[in-house]
Amino acid sequence: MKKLLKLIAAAFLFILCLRIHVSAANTEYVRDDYGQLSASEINELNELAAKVSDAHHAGVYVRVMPNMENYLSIEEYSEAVYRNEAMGYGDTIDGILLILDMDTRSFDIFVPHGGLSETAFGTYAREKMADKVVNGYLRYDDYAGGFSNYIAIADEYYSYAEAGTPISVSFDPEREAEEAAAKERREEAEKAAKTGATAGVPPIVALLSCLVMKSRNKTTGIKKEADDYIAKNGIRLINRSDRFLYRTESRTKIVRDDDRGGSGGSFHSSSSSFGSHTSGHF
Amino acid sequence: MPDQVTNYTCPSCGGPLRFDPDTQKVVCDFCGSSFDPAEISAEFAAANQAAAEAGTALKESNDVLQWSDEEAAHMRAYSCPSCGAQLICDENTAATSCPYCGNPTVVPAQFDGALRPDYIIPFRLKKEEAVKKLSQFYRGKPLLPSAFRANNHIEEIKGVYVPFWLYDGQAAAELSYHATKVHTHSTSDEHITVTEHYQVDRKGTVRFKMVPADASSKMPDEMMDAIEPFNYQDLTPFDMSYLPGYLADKYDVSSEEDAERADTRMKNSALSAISATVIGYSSAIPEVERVHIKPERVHYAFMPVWMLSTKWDDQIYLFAMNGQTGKFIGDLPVDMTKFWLYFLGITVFMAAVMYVVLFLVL
Repeated sequence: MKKLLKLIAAAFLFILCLRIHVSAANTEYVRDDYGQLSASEINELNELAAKVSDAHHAGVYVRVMPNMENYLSIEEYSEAVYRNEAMGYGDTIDGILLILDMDTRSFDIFVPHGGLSETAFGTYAREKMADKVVNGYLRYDDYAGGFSNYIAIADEYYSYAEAGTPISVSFDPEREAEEAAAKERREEAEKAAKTGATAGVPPIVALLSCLVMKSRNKTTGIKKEADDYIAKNGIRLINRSDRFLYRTESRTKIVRDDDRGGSGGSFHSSSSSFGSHTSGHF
Repeated sequence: MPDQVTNYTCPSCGGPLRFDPDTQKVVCDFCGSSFDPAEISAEFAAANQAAAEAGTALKESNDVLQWSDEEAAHMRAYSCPSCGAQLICDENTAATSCPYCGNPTVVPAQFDGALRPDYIIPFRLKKEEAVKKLSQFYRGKPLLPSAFRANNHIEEIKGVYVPFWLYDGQAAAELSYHATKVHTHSTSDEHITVTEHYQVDRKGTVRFKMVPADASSKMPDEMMDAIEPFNYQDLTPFDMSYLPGYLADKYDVSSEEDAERADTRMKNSALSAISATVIGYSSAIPEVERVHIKPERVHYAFMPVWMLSTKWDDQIYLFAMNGQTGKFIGDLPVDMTKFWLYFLGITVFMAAVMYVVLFLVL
């Protein structure tokens, strides 16, 4: 019995140590090794990330690194950082990491397999998050704003996943709302165009028709030309010269959707045995 | 000063003669005789000659009316050879009818020497056709006041040989353009527009034959221009025997005065004809446009015109019909109430159709 109690106590201590270890490792949710953020910004972001992480039992991390050290890819680097810093909550080391390599201005969003994060941040959700954070903020060097937005999005997506409706291609309330708003705007514009056409075109056509009718009542007029009286074979061209002078060239850049500010950066999503990635440049 | 008038009376019965557009002969409505214009012309030339030699030619009468100096300068009075009544005409009258006996009368002196027209196009269409054309002319004109259509009556209709100058000439045109050819193509990320600039020069001549301009100040130019064109295939050497039954005035606008109208028309047409050879360019901006008209022969011709006048709402409306081709012209009044009613009607109808199509069908 004593032996059993010792075993239970040892197991409890082990578990307690493990929890303490996990919590201690996860206290530094936002870290800036590059010096992009001020101390107060780091504190604020850390508080925010801790609150969201605790609420969903999944760590929300940000790392701003000067370079990728000796790693070949940002994906390998983010996995190494996640693992080395023992990030994540619980057995599934649940969490999400946004890591920036300031040297190559590349980023990666990493989510390990097995936890709520994998459910909450599928490929669609990660890419949507990247679009908002990277194209909306990081491209313009608004790091504090970008990280704050990243934490807020993480909070929102975790909540949807907990409710059993993770953000995905088939469920995206924001996109649906945007599409509904766009549709409404289109319909309103179409209605306005139709109303304008119904009100504007008929008077113009009517006026032109009436002027044509009026012109039928006037058939006199001074002749300006004598085409009817040109003699047969009466046109003789004596000199016909077409001399090339010079050439000018103008070029206009083709504007594509991905050239527009604020949206459209291309991202790459991939998966490894450890977790899933969405990476790209900012 | 013309002092003799000739009555074209039937050699058979003495009745008045007239030129008949249907048969192109001079006919007598009393006995039904018809004569070739050349034949009747020769006969009356001989008769006039005999009368002149006998001293019995019918003279200009100047002892009845007392005119002011101004009137005297522009008016002429003749005694009708048929009934003796006085014919009061203006100085240009060349053919008329006696208002008392109806006999067609010609003043041969108006055609003496340089005043003699080179050509005449005889009437092809009769008075009845002009009247018919007038009623047809009202059709298809929805803005014509209904009262005008119903109440207006022909006040006067007369067949007139209108004097015209017909100008031959050659236009020498010299044109220069700055022209461009524009090509566009695209690469994967650029639209490229290549513009080639050219200096385009053209030099040429355009020959014109018989550009008409009416030589009567009484005839509105815009009406005489509008009844063109005449078919010159019917141009025949002038003969007075085509005149009986119609009115005619000799010209009172000289060929020099009228030349500017013809020159302007020739210049415009020469420019169009030569510039039409500038082809294959995206744009051509004229830099030099010089046209010089070299006048050539001027012909004097009488052209057949039916003049109709109607009166409505205390206003005279004048119409003209080409006596050869039947082209009918004239300015008609516009009912502005109808104009706005049509405007409203078309607007409402179109708006209703567009509403149904845009809002209910699509």
